Amino acid sequence: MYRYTPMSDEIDIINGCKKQVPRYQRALYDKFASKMLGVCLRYSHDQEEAEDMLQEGFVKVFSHINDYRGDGSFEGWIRRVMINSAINYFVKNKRHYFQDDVDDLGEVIEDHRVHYDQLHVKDLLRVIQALPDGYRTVFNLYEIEGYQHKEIAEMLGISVSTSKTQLLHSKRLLQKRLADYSRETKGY
Amino acid sequence: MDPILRDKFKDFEQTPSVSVWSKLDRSLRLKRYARFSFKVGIPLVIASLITLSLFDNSKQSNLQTLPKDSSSLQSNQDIYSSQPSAKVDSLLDIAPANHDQSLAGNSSSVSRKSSKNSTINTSTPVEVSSVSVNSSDHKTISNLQASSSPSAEPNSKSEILPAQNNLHSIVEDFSLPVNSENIETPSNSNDLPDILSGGTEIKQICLGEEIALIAPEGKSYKWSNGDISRTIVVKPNDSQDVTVLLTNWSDQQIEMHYRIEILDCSIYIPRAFTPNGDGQNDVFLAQGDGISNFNMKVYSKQGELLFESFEINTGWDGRTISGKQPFDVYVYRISFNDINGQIHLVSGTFTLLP
Repeated sequence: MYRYTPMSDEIDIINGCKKQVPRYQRALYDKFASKMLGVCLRYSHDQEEAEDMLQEGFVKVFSHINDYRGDGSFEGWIRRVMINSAINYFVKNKRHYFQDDVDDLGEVIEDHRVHYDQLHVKDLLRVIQALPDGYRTVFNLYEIEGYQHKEIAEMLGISVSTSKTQLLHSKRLLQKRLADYSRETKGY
Repeated sequence: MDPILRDKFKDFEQTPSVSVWSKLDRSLRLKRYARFSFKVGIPLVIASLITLSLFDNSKQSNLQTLPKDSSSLQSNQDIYSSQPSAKVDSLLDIAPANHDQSLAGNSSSVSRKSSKNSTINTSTPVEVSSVSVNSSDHKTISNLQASSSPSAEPNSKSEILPAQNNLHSIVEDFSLPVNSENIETPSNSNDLPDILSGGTEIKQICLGEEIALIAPEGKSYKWSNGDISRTIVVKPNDSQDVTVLLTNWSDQQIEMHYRIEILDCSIYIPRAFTPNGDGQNDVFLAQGDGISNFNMKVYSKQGELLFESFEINTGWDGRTISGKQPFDVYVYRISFNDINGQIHLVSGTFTLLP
């Protein structure tokens, strides 16, 4: 009887992938796909889009795996490749990426601190996914990935001030929607 | 950076649908194939030409030059397509001396081979795995049409469907209004066509794998396992039915059934067989479900190729051109694609018992 034996050792998997051995490629995919879909979901507006990003990201991971020298965590490296893939997805597919004309913010709430802690991660994801593409990308890169505005500006090919205003807008919009959301769920 | 937010998403995971890997695997295989035929294919052609000219009088040795790598299977056929007469001749040489059954087997393997060559020559990236998925799509659609009312118009989309490999397309197809009486103006914000009738969808997965079920777009969902999200992931050990009660944008309740069929994707290879004509274990035969691109080669201990089959139901009856083979240990080499399109290569030994 012939069956699969799952492999777990990360270094073995990486070396196998460098030699392009199919079963190691599968093992790498199995190991990281769910986690990386979690990343891609934040940058997309639905699961289908996230899966497209994920697939393109893995194509890049497999074709550039020889660039990974073993310094720094492998997961971090894959994550960066995925984020780049997510950014490219929109740059490639959308013409009006960073629109500033969505000023449908209503009343501006002065307190810019958004209270995320009572929210479930899936609800939070839903609200993030509903943001306009440009807002969402900057928001993710700054608030979750922890990049600086200068780095974000370079990654996206925009100016530092655009990055800052996009972030501000995204936070306001998010805050408004979260407020709406909690009002709905509390049934006011 | 927001530490609370970052922390929340740190361990956030979601299982991707099966189609992601199958698409990825397809592109990886295309790359490997291109790389392989360049690096290995050219030297192999030269090597086999030299072998041909050196040992032209013994045709058996031609067959020995078969590459012993699974991924070479495709380029293998390329090599033979450049010298098809040698291969077909030797196959025909074997045939007349054989039992009727193996004659049928051999000729079918020849015809299979030629059909495979034609798919490779047209260089379409269509693989058997996706075809098998699509054929089940067809089944699904016909089920759906059978279950809907007789006034249902033939759905033109079902003809387009086989060209698409995306599993989502099946799901979205259900959202097309099938019954023309029920069409109402969609009232949802996305202006998507509303789902109006349920259906049954058949999904096939390998034992031990999980599958994501995605309901058509609607207002709310209630799955038979209690889940209320649009997508659920299940990992059944046995074939089972999953039902979702969906509320569509017009507040109608729609029931969708998903039949999950579990296939044992491993292949069973016997360790021995007895070609004595008693009707039991007379043929050396591999067994498995959902297998495509099957190829089996049987070698003697000396590495001489005795038998080759391109179909899982065609096995070796213990004979070659030179008659019945003796009681001995033989070597098999089997390559196949499982239901997900993953290539497997298995080799080992088996015993011919008198």
